[in-house]
Amino acid sequence: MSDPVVRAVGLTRVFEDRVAVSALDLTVDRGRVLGVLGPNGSGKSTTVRMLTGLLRPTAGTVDLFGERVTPSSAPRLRARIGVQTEANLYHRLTVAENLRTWGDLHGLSRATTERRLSEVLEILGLADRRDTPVGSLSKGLRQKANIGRALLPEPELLFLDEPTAGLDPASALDVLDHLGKLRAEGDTTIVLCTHQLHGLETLCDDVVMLDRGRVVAAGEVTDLLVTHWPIRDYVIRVGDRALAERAVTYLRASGAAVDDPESADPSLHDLYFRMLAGEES
Amino acid sequence: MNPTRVRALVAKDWIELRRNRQTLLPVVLLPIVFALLLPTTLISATKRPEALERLGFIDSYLVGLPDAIAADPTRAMVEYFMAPIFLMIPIVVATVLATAAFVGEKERDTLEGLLFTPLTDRELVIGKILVSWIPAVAVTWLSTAIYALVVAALARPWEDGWGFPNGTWLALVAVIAPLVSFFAIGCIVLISHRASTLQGAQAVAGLLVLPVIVLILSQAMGALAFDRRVVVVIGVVAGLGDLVVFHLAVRRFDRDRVVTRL
Repeated sequence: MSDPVVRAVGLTRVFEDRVAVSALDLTVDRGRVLGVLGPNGSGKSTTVRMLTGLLRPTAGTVDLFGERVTPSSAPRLRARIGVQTEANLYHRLTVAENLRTWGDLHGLSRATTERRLSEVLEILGLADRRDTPVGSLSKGLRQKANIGRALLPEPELLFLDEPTAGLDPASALDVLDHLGKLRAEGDTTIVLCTHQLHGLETLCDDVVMLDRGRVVAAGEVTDLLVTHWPIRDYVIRVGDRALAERAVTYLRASGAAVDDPESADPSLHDLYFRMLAGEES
Repeated sequence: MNPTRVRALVAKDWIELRRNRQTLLPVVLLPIVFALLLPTTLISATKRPEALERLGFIDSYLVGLPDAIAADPTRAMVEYFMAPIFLMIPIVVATVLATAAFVGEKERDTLEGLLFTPLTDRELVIGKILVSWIPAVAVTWLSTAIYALVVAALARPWEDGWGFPNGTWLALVAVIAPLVSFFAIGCIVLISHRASTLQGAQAVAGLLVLPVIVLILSQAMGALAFDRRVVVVIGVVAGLGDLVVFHLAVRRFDRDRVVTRL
């Protein structure tokens, strides 16, 4: 069996008197998606910085692609990694110029860079903004360009730190859909840090939940959900309350423990997608 | 070291600089002032006795020069007086561009993105030095060419049996200017490890022109003549300084510290 793409053991980082990450163990196998979940300040970004060799762990070790991350190995390993964080793109450069720079820094040939540039901009819906200075883009479009910069070199390992922050709901779904495609293709390993949980159950294979730098839950998503909710709930949707009550009466008569029917009020989320995206999610 | 990555970094920064008028302004103004306006004024003044009398500092200044030079105020201005002033060009251009290239990345929150790329610390430091060093040297050389034309047009040195640029000046622009601009940039790199705003970095970087101001004042007061010996001393000091600051700049560039202070 091949080495895991990411393996961290006892990863700890202390900033002066504050413990940012404490004794974190994680393993991500090739082609899998790991969700690093937690509120702001839980240590997600510090974890990414340690995993990519930007920050030295106070304790613990990191191996990427089976090789120990050290100051001398880190630049070589980073050539196989794409990272999206809160770091800005260059506002005076166009979207294409920003991404081309990243292609050059990752050692891509000019032809490969141009091919990937077109593909990535198409995927992210930025093809018509190719020659627009990044400083002229809205926050959401800048975030897309930032994700594009990480995707451009077709990295074997992709770190995404709050990739859907600032995106409108449809764009956020587009991004998650694309990550789902990458997962299905199985060539890219993804570490996804976020506190926005919508849609993650289907995207992430594994999760690590952090709170103030400590792991509060970790494992395969399906295992964790089954462990915490061993009994599944099923929902029946009917458009008539009287009919719903009759169904509950029937089920109770059959011996099932059923709660009273509840009205599922439509949400703004539902209205948004009905009006703007032409569909209900 | 990977030259492709260094080139990519330099190319990216030059596009940014070209589109940043605030940074470009001093780079364009310096040659106009130091290579065109100031020499034109001074050479014209030395050609007119009544104007020469009004330049009070000239007497004390000429005292410090060799007799043959002191006898020709125009030549003294062209060859000696302007020399330390010209040293301001590589230092100021290097300072302006280097603070934009290093501290600007921090201020605009773009540096962390670069740190996540395969760039090594050495490539990053060398790339950023080249971004400022090449234009600083190019602007100095261009300024010298403009200055030589001004001298030829207004001073007509061949009529009095001397030529410009002479050996000292060629050494000044070909060797000293690259060395002092490299030194200035190396100092900016060291300053940038601590500074997080352009304003703060430029305030400290402004101190780099102090030695040149001392040279200019020393000459104006007749305490020093900017001759071959001074050029050699500056060259040796700047060369040694370059080695020290480059070594320190690469050694002290620590991603951990940079990221922690972002």
